Amino acid sequence: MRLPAPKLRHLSVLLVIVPIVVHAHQGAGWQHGLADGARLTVGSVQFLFSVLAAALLTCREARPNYLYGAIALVTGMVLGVFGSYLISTEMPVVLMVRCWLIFLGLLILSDIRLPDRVINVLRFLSGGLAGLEFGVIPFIDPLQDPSPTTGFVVVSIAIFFAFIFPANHYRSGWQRISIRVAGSWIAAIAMITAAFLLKNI
Amino acid sequence: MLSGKFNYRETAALRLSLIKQALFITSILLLPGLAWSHVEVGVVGEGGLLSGMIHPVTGLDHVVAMVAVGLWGAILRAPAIWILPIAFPLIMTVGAVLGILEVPIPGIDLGIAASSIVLGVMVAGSFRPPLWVAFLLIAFFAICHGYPHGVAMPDFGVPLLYAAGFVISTGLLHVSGITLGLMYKWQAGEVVVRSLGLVIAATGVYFLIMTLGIMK
Repeated sequence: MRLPAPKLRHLSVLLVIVPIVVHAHQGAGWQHGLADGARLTVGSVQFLFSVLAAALLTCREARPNYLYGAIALVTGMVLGVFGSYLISTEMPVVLMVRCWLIFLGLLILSDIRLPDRVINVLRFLSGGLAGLEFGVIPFIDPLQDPSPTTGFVVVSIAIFFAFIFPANHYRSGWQRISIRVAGSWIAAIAMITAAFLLKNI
Repeated sequence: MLSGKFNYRETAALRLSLIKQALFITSILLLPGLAWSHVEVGVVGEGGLLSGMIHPVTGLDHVVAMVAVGLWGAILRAPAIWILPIAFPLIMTVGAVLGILEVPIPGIDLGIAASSIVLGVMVAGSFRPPLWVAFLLIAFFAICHGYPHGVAMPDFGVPLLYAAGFVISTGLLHVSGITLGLMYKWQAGEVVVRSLGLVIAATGVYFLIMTLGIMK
């Protein structure tokens, strides 16, 4: 389903309001959990880049379907968060996410045309791995307190649409190059974080 | 005296579009939490984003090589004009990773000096090898330049933002090289660009001499 292009002023409001809400709640309770989840998402490169990569892949679809893209991402995230109960150690998940981001970054950089179904699977896996890494964070327990997970998912959706609209409505040569540059930066930063993880093992 | 009618509607629409774009960019710049809202030292300051951005420009050997990549890309024209400046920071990160992991690589300083010489000669001579040859050369030199960044990456501060800083700074140096290289399409501009190549090559010879310890 094609959604209408947003007005720039709407995006501006979104970009200003989301961080304010994230930092607004200081007390205990579900608002605090919501803010925690949102803050973790906005402040962590691996979650931001997972959502950004999913958004950039959506822009590369032959027939972009934003709604299905968002559904695939969210489904993967929720399954990933609950799937983290099966994980006992954090490090393999973290390294796997970094390798996945390197792969996605290089894929976006290469500008290869992929079938829409493959892109859907990639979005789902992005969400799943991001959810898995979110779920293994020590204080995250979605069954006991679902509010951080809710914050994580909600802010991810907001970021997904915030990235997707500007990138999708610009199809000229230099703007496609900008998307390639974004892919190279995703891969580069993921490599650096993976290197630090390996160094500290 | 200007001829033709002044189109108020188009001007007003253009002005409104510019205001909207400025508003959008301003809202991005107001995003808290990622950089400016952190009070601890390291995110923006020492060991952080700005520190990483400053690191490549404090070494003349890095600066001339990065600019030379942009100049050469402009001479090679599309698609090299955008492939080389994208590939260089990415492969430079591979070099940085090797530096972080403390993988011993001999002759890095020689490689850095050689990069200025080779790239300077390529620009001065307006050489246009096949894209894969240019890419391999760039890749080799990128690893040489990235390695010291990885070694120098601080354990304090925020290493990730430091890395992002030097990648951004490198990209901006490439863009400056490309911008200068766009003069190449004019006759006088070609002379200027090729002269810059000679200067870069000469700088590389100086660094090579200093590295070999011939001159103290």
